[in-house]
Amino acid sequence: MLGGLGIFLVLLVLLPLGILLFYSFWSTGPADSGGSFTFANYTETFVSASTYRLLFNTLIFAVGSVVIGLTFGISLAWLIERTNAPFRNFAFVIAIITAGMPPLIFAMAWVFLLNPRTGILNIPFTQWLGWNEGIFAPYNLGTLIVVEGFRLTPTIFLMIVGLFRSMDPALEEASAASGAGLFTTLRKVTLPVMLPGLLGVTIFVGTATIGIFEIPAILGMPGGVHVFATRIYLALQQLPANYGLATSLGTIAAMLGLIGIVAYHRVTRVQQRFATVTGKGFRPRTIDLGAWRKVAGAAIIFYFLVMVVVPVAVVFYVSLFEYYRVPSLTAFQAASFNAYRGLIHEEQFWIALKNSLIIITVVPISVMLLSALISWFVVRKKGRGSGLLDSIAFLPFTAPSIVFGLAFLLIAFWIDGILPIYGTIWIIAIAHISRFLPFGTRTTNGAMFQLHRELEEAGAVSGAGWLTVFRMITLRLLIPSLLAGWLWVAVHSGRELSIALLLASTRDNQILSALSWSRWENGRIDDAAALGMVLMGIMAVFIIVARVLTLKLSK
Amino acid sequence: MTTMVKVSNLRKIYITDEGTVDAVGGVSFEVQAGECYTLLGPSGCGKSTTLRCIAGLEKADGGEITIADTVVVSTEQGVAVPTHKRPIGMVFQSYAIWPHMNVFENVAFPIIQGSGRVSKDEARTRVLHALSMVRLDGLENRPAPQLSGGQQQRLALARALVREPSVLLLDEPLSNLDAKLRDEMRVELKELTQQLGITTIFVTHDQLEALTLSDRIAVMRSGVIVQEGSAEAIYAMPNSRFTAEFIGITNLIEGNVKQIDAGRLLVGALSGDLWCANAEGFEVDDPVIVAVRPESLEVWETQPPTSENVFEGTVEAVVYVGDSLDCRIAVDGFTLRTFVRGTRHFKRGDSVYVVMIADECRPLPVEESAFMANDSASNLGQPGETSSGPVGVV
Repeated sequence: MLGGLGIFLVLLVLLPLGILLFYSFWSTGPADSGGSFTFANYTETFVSASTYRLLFNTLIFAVGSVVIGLTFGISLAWLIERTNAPFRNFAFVIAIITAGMPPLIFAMAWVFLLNPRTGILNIPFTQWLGWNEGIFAPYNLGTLIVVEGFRLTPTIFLMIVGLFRSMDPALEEASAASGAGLFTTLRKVTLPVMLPGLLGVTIFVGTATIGIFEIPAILGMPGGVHVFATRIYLALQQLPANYGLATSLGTIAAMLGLIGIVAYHRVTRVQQRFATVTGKGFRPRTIDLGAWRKVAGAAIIFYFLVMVVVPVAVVFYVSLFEYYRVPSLTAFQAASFNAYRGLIHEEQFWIALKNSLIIITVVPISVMLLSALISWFVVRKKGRGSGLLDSIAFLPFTAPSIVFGLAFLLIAFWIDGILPIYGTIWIIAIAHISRFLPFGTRTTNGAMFQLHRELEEAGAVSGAGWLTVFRMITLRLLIPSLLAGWLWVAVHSGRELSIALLLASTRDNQILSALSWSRWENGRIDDAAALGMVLMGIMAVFIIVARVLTLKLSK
Repeated sequence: MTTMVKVSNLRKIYITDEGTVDAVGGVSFEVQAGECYTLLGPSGCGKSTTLRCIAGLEKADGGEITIADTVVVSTEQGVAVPTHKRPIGMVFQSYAIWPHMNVFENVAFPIIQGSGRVSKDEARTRVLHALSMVRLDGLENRPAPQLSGGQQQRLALARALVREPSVLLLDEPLSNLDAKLRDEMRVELKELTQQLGITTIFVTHDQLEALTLSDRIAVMRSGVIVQEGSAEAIYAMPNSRFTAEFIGITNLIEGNVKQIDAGRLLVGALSGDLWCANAEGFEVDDPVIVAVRPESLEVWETQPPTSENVFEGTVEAVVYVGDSLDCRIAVDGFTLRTFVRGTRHFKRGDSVYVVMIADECRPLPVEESAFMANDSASNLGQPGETSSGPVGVV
């Protein structure tokens, strides 16, 4: 059983990453025959000055956006968990909605907001002051950092809220009872106790940001600002595709991720020592903000506008015109749903829709079942084999999505004779399962740790076999966590672009996100925006269904 | 009487950073049908591990276990029957009540999902019967998490009994209950197991639970059984300093054997002579520790009518605990603890005479204490409970 699961994981995770590594040391690409072992890919990459520029950009981008995200995320989490700021529940709604917003859509919205001549934020300067260009400009590293920082805020907020909640309020109360003021308590107790957790969040989000494609692709590439993910994409887009550069860059990016993960594990091990989960439901007393309460409320509303209302409104607006128009009364007279009408009559749209639905259904269920099984071995059957299992399952987290797309592209060439899945939706689905496995196992590992082993042992001493116990007790008790993980994977899988970008090679295996990107690339911005709206609509339905299910279960 | 459970030379090894540790180092015992057998010892002594080996939740590294004439573990023959195929019922320390099922479903699980499946009608009859046995009638549709601690405990018991197991395994079932509920459940558990006549193996670190519930007790320490016997025998005749200290409150007086006479031992201790029962295994000049229970001490304000084992002392501390006085009396610089009736009047500094009843003084071989000084006091339960018959005349 453990062995079978191990072999399956090796095929799903190690094989693709291994092939990537192999081609980074091979003189020819997968389409060519022959070739030999070589260091040339790396020497060429490291000789080129542009590589260092790339490395620098990527690190600045990741560090800068995480700093912005942390600043907003921590402030927001503190306001919501520890003060009497208004609209507190609202902040969670925002976080959940933005999880369903594809980064592609978010980035597109900012293009129309920041365009020097026609950008909505620049209108006061160009139209009213008559300047040639406004003060905002989209295609530079600074903008990239700010936009990605905004985009990271809800994710970081949710993680920090978790840290606040897992902290025993008695720790802060004991500090207050010892005579320490609000600020001293925050500085000497709250933050030090949370520090390992905060460090974990930073490394986790930072590692993920190194691999993000959509934001740099839309806001960086036109201005010649490249990061790892976009450079790998370009290396594969050129003719002939430069597999040497792509695989060596991909391997380097994965190595950076690996370093991040090792650091993350170190840090979270410390955090477990600090673990203060009490399981008691009571909340600590909230701090009265007084007059500042209104300011805090305004900040939360502003955050909602920036994160949800503005991007959705802008993209919806753009989807109404064949060519982008500066918003005005005359512009609105030309608005139409032509883009949506056109899509409905296109076969390609229906194929992409069907494929996206397949992905959103198959990937999360597979990931969560596989994760539950892996976690059972990791948590219950401690030992060398299960530790290895856990590490392998976590490995995909290290590589950016685009690198995963590349790895499965390389595999497709190899196994085409045995398993002809190249050009079908299934290769994308399998790549997604592999990609999102670490997120699944994180959820189920945590949940399995919480599950008292005696609950399962009671099943065994009742005379039920392993499978019955796993099915009737373990899985059933994991359902709330499985559902949470399922929603997370469904939403991220549905909005994922980079993997499909490399693997959606035929019209039969397009998905909505990739279709939207290709329309954007071809200048069909109304189609791109309309497809984005459809994708967000699907996400919204999924999120609502999952919330309703969760509420029903928790009753 | 037939043997229901037989454990022979059971071994369980744990591998730690410092090397291997014998969690269970060759434990052997037999439990007769209908008997309540208790494994008693401090945490880490291997009692739970032994029980879990019987249940098959831990894999034994050596030895043999037989349940109802079926070998379920034999490392020699390579037998290891999986847990779900052993004829057992078990109650866990955490109760392990499944929160996603209601009361009925929890109890029905063993006979619906387990190996001994029965028809729906029979299952219903048996579940309701089991629930009425533990006085949970009428609660079968209640979601399990809504039960109180005591009710969950009884539910766990019903679930363990519903499949009519050959042996009932209880792993510290009372330790999560508050003191008052624990007292009630202890009595209830004893009545139920006696009434059903079911073979029970009970694991606890609580000496009081062990003394009240068991037909026989095995005291465990560091993975081995150090003494086995009836509750009375274990309490009255501990064979080691460890057992004496672990069960009940004991005064331990060091001395040397001076004389052996007609099965009695004269020990030179406390600058005087102390007669003890049972001289077996001792020779003159042996160092010895004499264990004297508090209730084996008599406290006199005037010269007692006997001259044997009489010592002069001073009252050092008196604590009023309601039904009795918890007294500490200094004799030759050594503090003896005893309980006298609460109606008596002692105060600090009073001169008294202490008589140690010779028949109840147990000589023990010298060994290191297993506990720190403070630890022994905290381990030994409520003073009021053990002093059910506070001795003290006049």
